[in-house]
Amino acid sequence: MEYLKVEFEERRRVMVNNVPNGFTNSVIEAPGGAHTVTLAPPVDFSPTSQEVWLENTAPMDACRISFHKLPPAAIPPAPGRPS
Amino acid sequence: MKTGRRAAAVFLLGTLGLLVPACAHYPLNARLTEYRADGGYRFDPLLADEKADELFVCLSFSGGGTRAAAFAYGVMKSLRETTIPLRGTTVSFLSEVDCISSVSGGSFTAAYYGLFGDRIFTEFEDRFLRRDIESELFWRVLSPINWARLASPYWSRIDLAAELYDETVFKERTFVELIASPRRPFIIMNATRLANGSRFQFTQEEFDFLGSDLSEYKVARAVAASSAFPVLLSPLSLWSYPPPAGSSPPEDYVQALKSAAADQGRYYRALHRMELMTGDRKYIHLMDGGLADNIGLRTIMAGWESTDGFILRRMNDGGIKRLVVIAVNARTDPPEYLSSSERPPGLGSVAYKVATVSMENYSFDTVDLMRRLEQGRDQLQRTTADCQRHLDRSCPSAPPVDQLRRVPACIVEVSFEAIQPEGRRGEFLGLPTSFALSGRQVDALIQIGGELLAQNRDFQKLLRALRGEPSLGAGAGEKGNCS
Repeated sequence: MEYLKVEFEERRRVMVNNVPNGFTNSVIEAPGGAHTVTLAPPVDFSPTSQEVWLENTAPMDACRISFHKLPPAAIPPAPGRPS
Repeated sequence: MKTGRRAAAVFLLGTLGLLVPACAHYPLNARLTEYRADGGYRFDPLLADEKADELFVCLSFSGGGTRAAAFAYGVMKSLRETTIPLRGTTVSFLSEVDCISSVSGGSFTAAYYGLFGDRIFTEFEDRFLRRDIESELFWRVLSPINWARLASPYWSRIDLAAELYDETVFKERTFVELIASPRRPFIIMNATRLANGSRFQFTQEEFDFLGSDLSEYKVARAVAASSAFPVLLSPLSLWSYPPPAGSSPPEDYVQALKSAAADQGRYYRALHRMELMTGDRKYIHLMDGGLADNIGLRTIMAGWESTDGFILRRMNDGGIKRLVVIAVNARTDPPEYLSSSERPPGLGSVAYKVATVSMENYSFDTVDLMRRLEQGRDQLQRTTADCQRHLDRSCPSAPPVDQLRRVPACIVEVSFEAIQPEGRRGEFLGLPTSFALSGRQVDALIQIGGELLAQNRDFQKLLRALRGEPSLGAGAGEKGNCS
């Protein structure tokens, strides 16, 4: 098993390979290898998703990635909404 | 003249009577018209309040014909009589079971409980355990109408067996009935894909890869596939259809295929399923689930080790506070005669050994593997917790170290090996794998299932912990995750 920590300004559900798996700022367990990581809506963060490779991690030495909260003006309009 | 016409008519009717059944075809699994992530027989739609995950219990029922079915049934009876305090009330341990993964003979018990709930305790013994299924099947094979059907290349002994189970045990129930009764436990019946030896589970998640809808499929056919003992029974076949428009492969599998080296289990699980999604029609031929895993634990492990697994997701979310896995293993160790003969074994002996030897070997490995997974996680939890304690003492101003979520996982194995004294143990270890045991043997198996669970030290530790009773201390072996 490998370990991932997704850093974000607030507590938000983490999506690993499009499936809800744990929350931001806490250690998430996942099998080794490639994964796509993103956060649950609203899409007010950047980047929209990240590819990670998990290998040789430990709970205290987890793979760390960060998402940053966008200012309201930079948030892309939801699909179907007038911009 | 009239006699000649009558003879011709009788001949024609007779020929038709033989030819029509000879065109017999096994029932087809339906094509999936629309993919729905929350549709069909899956774990997630089964109703349970959030707190139901706190104590997450999975059972695994091994293969072994009626011996395994009766043994699992005995353990279930005992679990039903065992009570624990939970959420301010007292509940039966059995009512807290969230999933049952089953193989071969164990699938009869699991499927019956999934379909009929507590009725199993008044019906199942007469409807299955105490019957001579083998003789009933034999008489069906002897029926002339079935000779003609068996002459068809698309109808075989397994279809006859499935028909028998459908009519007399499962009363024509389909997976619709399992979906319509949206309560846990989630029943996962396991078979083995003959083409590559991989596990195949009768869930909508697996059927998505076949582009097929499991809902209308007969539960009896799933049980038949799970218990299709090699050589004695023929494989059960399913069709694989092109995936419905708009569906795409799961992202976890797309990512898994990027490298075999990182996690071979993840890679091959993805490879074996994704190869069905190529768009060409393929045919899946299934045999006894015991060929891939004779105790049903690997399906639970897969749920624990993959990001789309029903266990790991709940552990990462913090929903599961304690994980309990009870493996009911009806493995036997009959006297071995091959080594005392100078003459090389005949075809029959070789076929039997080839069919069964891998089942026994993998049972040892799988229990060990599950325990190592649990112990490894427990060591990591304790290491990180210790680290934090040291840091708190030596450098209180330092930021906290990352902790692994504490989820005690208790693995309980119930098997004949624990029977005392030795003579009594030998009686059970020598029981045959068959679908025709005597009433006395069935009684003994039901009783020993309950006894072994009640005497199991890990299970007793677990009960003390759940009831808030003091542990007996490290000297009494109360150190593991069950306490």
